[in-house]
Amino acid sequence: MIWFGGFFLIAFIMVLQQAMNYYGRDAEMAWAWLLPNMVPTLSLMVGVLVAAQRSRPHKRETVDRSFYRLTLTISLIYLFLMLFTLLVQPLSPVEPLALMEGSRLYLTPFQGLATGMLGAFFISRDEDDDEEDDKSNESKPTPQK
Amino acid sequence: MRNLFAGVLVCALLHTPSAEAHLSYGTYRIDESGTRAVRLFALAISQRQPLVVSVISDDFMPRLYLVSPDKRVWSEANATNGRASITIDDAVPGEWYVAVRPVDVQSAGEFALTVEPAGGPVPLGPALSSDAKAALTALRRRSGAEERIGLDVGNSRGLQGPGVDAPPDGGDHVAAPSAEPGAKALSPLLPWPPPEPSARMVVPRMLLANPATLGDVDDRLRAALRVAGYDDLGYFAVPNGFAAVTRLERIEPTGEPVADASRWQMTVPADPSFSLFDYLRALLTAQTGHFRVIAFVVTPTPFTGSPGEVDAVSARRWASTGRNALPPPMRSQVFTADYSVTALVYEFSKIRGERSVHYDLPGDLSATTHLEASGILAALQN
Repeated sequence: MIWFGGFFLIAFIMVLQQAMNYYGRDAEMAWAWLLPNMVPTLSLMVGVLVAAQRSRPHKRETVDRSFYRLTLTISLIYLFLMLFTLLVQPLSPVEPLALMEGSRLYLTPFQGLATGMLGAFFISRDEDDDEEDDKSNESKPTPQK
Repeated sequence: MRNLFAGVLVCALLHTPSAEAHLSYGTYRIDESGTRAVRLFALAISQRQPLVVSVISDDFMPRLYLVSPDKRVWSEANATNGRASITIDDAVPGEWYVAVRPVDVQSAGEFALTVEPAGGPVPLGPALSSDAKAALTALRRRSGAEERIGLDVGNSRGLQGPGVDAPPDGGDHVAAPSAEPGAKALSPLLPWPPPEPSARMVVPRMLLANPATLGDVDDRLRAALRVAGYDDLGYFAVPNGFAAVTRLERIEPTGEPVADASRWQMTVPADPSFSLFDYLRALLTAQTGHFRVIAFVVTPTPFTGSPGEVDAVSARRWASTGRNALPPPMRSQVFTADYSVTALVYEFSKIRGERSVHYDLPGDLSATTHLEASGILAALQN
C-alpha cells in the first residue's frame, strides 16, 4: 500500500503539473523519469501478489518482523527521495529536468536495494495454518500490509 | 562591379596546434587569367564526425570536389543557385582535400567556402602533402579541364577566414572589393539576410547625432549601449556596413532586463518565495523566462528577414564570436544618406520545466518597447 500510495501521490502531482504546462514541451522527459523509477517495482509487487492469491487463496503467510521493517524502511526512504526530488523543484536553483536527471545518482542505489528487499521479502514467506492465524498475526505482519 | 555574394555562412574560429590559426570559412577567387582556375585546400580532420563542405558564389556555378584520406572522391555541382554542398555523414580522421572550380571553365569570380562540422570544430591543416598532389592529379583527370587548371599548390594552406591575418605568402585569401573597405576584417553576419526578427525598427537618424562615418555611428551606438549595460558587443560584416550584436540577456515580460546576475544566463531561476501559496504556485504552474538579443544593422542595403527559426544557443554565441571592435578601415567609411540603422530584436522564451529555449516569432513586444525598456532608446536620446 505504501508503494501504491507513493506512486499515486507523485503521479498526481505530475499530472497537475502537466495540466498547468509546467514541463512545456518536455513533459515526456519528466514522465520518463517517474515511470522507470516506480513501475518495475510496482509490477513486481502486483505480479507476486496476484500469483500468491491465485495459488493459495486461503492461506496466510508471514515473514520475519525485522526483515519486514528493513524492507519498509528502505521503501520509505526511496519514496521519500522520489517525492523530495519533485517537491524541491520550486526551491532549487537547478531546473526541474536537470534535477530529475541528477536524482538518478541517489535514486538508483535505493531503487536497487528496495527492489531487492521486496523480492527477498516475497520469497521468504512462511505459510501458516488457518488455526494458528490469530496467534501468528500478533507477532508477524502479513506481506499485504 | 561584380556582385559580392553575401556571406551566408557560419564563421567558426578554428585552431590547431600544428598550424596557423584557421577558420572553417573563407572567401576566395577564381581568376580570369587561368592561373587559379581551381582552388585546392587541405583539411585535417582530427576526429570522426559528420562534415558538411559548401561553396557558394554569385559569380559562377561552382563545382565542388572532396577527396577523403582513402582517396575516394565526391563531387557536386549545382547550376541553379550557385551553391554546391557535400555532406559526409561520418568523416574519418585524416587529411582531406577540397577543390573548387567553375562548372563553366571560362567563368571566374569570387566564392565562399565553408566547412561545417556537426560535432565540434574541425582543425584545418596548413599544408599539402605529397598525397594532396596525387589527389590533385586525380581531380584534374576527372574535371576534363586540364588546360585550365593552374593550381597554386604552394598557397593552399587551409581555409583562411575573416578576422585572421592572411598567411605570409598571400595565401588564398581574397581581398574584398573596394566598395566594401574593411569588410574582409569582419566575419559576415550569419546568416545574411538576417533571420526574420521577432521585432525590428529603424533607428531615427536624429538619434545618431549626425554621424559622418560608420565609426561615428559605432561610437554613438556603443556609448548608448554601455549606458544601458551592454558592454560586450560582437561586430559582424553586412553588405557595405556592419552589425553590432548584444549578448543574449534575460528580460522581464515587460522588456526590462532582470536586475540580478541571472541577466546573462540562459536559465529560468527559481522564484525565491517562502509562503505556502507561492510555493504551491511555483510547484504546479509554469514559470516562463524571456530572453533577447538585439542586433543593430548599419547598411545602405535594404533587406528583409530570411525565413526560419533562430537557435537560441547560436544566438547566445553571436556576441562572443563577433569582432570586439569595428576595424579602422570600416570606421572611416562615410555614413551617407543611403545608410540606415535597423534594430533587430530576437526574442526567446523558455518554461522553467523545459530543457530547450524557443524562438518567439513574432515577439510579444514591439521593437520600440524593447529599446525603451532596455534603456537604449533613452541613452540615444541623451
